[in-house]
Amino acid sequence: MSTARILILARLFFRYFTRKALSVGVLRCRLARTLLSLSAVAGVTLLSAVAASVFHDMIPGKRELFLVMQVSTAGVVFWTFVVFIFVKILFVKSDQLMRYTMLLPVSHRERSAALTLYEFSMVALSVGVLFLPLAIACLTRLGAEAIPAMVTGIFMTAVSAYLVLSVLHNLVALALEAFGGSRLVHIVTLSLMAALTLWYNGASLTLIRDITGDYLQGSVGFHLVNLFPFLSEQAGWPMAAAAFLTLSAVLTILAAFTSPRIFPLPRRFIRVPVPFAGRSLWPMVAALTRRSEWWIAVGVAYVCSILLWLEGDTAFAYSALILLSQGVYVHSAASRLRLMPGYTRSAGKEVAYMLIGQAIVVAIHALPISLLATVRPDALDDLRTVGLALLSGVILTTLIAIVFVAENDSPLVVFTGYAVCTGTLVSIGAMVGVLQVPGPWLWFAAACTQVLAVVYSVAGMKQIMRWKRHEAAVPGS
Amino acid sequence: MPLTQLDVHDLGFTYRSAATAALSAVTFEVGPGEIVGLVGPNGSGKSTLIKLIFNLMERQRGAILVTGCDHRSEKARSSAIYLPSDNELPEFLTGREYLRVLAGLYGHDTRAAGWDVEARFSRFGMRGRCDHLIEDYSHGMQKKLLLSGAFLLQRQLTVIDETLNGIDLDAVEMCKAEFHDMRGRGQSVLLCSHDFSLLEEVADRVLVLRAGRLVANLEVCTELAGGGRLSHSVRAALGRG
Amino acid sequence: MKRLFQVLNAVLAGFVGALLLATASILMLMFSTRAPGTRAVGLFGGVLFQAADRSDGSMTLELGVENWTGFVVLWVVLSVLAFVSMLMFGWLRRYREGLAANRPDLE
Ligand SMILES: Nc1ncnc2c1ncn2[C@@H]1O[C@H](COP(=O)(O)OP(=O)(O)O)[C@@H](O)[C@H]1O
Ligand SMILES: [Mg+2]
Repeated sequence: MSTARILILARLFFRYFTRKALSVGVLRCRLARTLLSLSAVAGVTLLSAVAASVFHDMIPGKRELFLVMQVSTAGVVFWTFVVFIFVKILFVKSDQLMRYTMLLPVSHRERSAALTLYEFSMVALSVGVLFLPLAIACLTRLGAEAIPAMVTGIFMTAVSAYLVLSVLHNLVALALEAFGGSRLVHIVTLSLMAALTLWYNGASLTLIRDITGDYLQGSVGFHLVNLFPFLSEQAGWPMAAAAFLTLSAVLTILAAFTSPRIFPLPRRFIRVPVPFAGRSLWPMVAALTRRSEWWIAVGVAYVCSILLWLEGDTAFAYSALILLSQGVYVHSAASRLRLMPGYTRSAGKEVAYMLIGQAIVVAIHALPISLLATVRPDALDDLRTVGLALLSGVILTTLIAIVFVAENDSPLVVFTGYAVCTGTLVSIGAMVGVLQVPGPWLWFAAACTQVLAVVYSVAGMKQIMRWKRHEAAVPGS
Repeated sequence: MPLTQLDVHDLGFTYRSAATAALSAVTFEVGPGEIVGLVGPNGSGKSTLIKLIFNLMERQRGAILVTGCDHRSEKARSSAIYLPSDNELPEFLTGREYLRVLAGLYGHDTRAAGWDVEARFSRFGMRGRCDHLIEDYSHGMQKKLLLSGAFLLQRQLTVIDETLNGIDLDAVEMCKAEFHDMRGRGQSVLLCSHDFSLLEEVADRVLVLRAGRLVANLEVCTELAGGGRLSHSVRAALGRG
Repeated sequence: MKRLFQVLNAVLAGFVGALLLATASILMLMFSTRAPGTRAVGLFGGVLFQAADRSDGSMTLELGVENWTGFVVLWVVLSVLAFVSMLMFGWLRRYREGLAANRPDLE
């Protein structure tokens, strides 16, 4: 094991991330990159200012800061989950790079170590950025006094959560390898992680309530996620640091030991039978349903709906909306079909195929969820809303898929697309709320939005096709 | 039957990022039942020419007729098939499904006689693989799948862009036999390849491209007469003799 | 067809702009200090905000667009503005291309 080689590999991974994930589609345009980074800086500044002004009234002293830190551990753990999944998805999608590293003269241990280093820095960086406003606000309010609480609350919690997740991930991968399912490793681990994240998201509300309750009673309870703040409260913060060091050493060794002996190359497609072969829509439907990620979404949606259903919540119908998360791939999933010899289709027809194909696939997979409602008729109202939402979601995600074409399936582009779309919808919704627009007009506007989305999808598709044919050619010569 | 299957006249093309033209004043014909080789150094414009024939990029100068019709017309599109040099196949389909979708795109009836995917696969040494996902095929197998599509569809004009590189000897022999049959049916092939012994065996003529210009149009039997080698003639045409 | 899309883009931009302006003016009315209970209107009488204390100690809020004609006028004006600026932009770009074509050293 050579440190130099590990560092070279880790650098390669970083470069890969910046070149491949950060420079696709819209992000290739410098203006878009500048705007995005500016808005990110503005966002952090704004949030810090807001947090500082809120803390000014809320945090009179150390005691209250301690509560804030304890509550934020729940959030830190959640974001660690999210970033961990994001980094894993990024690597599942970059099997080319993985294949390439197999040709390099590095041992598997070195590759795993480099990957871990890379993953860890990504997680640390992202969690750091996310909690920067909180940290800045605490520092401006309390000065250096705030540092120990921040280190225990944010840094130690994030690092140990990451290590625990790595060990869990490796254990699942090892188990699958032992039972001969190593090509399914990514699908299974990712769905488990996604389900775990959703479950944790639900549980964290209770956690926050308990922690706040403890604080109001003047005691500090132990809730697992707040291990380090708890320790530093009970035994002083040097003790917490010592515990952190031992724990992370043990977990690192465990992670190294359990790391799978081979990097399993992912299976991107699953051969599910799709009926009605020979119909012109069939290839599109097959392209959507055979992506392995589609089945992750289906699994997560079903698990969520069943859990909610068992809890007696009528909101279980809304978990069908998870299926829409795959809609942004509708364009790139079928891109290989468009390269087939003899393939010519007008932009309008192409968009129609995407819309209908996605609608069919979503409807079929949402059916079991709607069947749950037959046992509970009080959910029928929700079901109707969900149906409308799915319909409009299919239209809007197709538009996103065309505007933010997910080249190389880049999850970052997908993220950006969703963020922009959600941001736009939420701000328009807020404006409409403030302006008190009357109900019928709202419905009318919503319908107009769908029509416009289709119109713009067709226009975008036309533009993409024109670029394809002209991008290489000199204009007007 | 038209007099030519492919008629390229005064074709010129310049890429946006390039200073010089990728193709200039290219003119040639391919007659029915003719097998024509297309050779030239890397970057000489072979793939550009083929993409223009299939209307994948906007033509800038000149005219292209496929089976007597403008190459953009529906008839031209359905009477020619193109095998690209990079295997960008829809990997989520199985081999059988791919061929079926292809047949759908060309309006070919898969119940007609001669549509036997199984037999085609076993002749290519891929027995029992037609129901596996293309994702699991090796590089050579993907090329064989592309070739199977062309041989099953039997279009008037088949254009092969370096697809024959990297497949095994048995498959190359089978392709030769196929080309022979196609010639018998009056179907033409434009074959882009760097394998001169193959071209010597199957091609009637060889077009030589250099830096976007057609520098020679060699009759293979005349070149081979008197014990000559095709590779020597091509090198001479490229000015490297 | 291209013109049609420009018009559509301009109309949409005008609509979003009008929404933004109306919301911003309501927010401004909300945070400006006034005697409690007074009605405040903004945007040429287009939007309204009123907060009044009720006898039971709770508060009633009345806010929203008061007359929609104002909003529509704003929308139309902004759309026309957007369309004109699009035309100007296209014209300028063509002008630059013309310059560049005459003087290749400019590119
Ligand atoms: N998309 C492109 N953009 C710019 N130049 C290109 C592009 N594709 C090919 N070229 C250039 O055009 C020339 C011909 O390329 P190509 O037709 O692919 O050659 P060949 O297939 O004979 O190897 C080369 O010089 C190549 O660099
Ligand atoms: Mg080529």
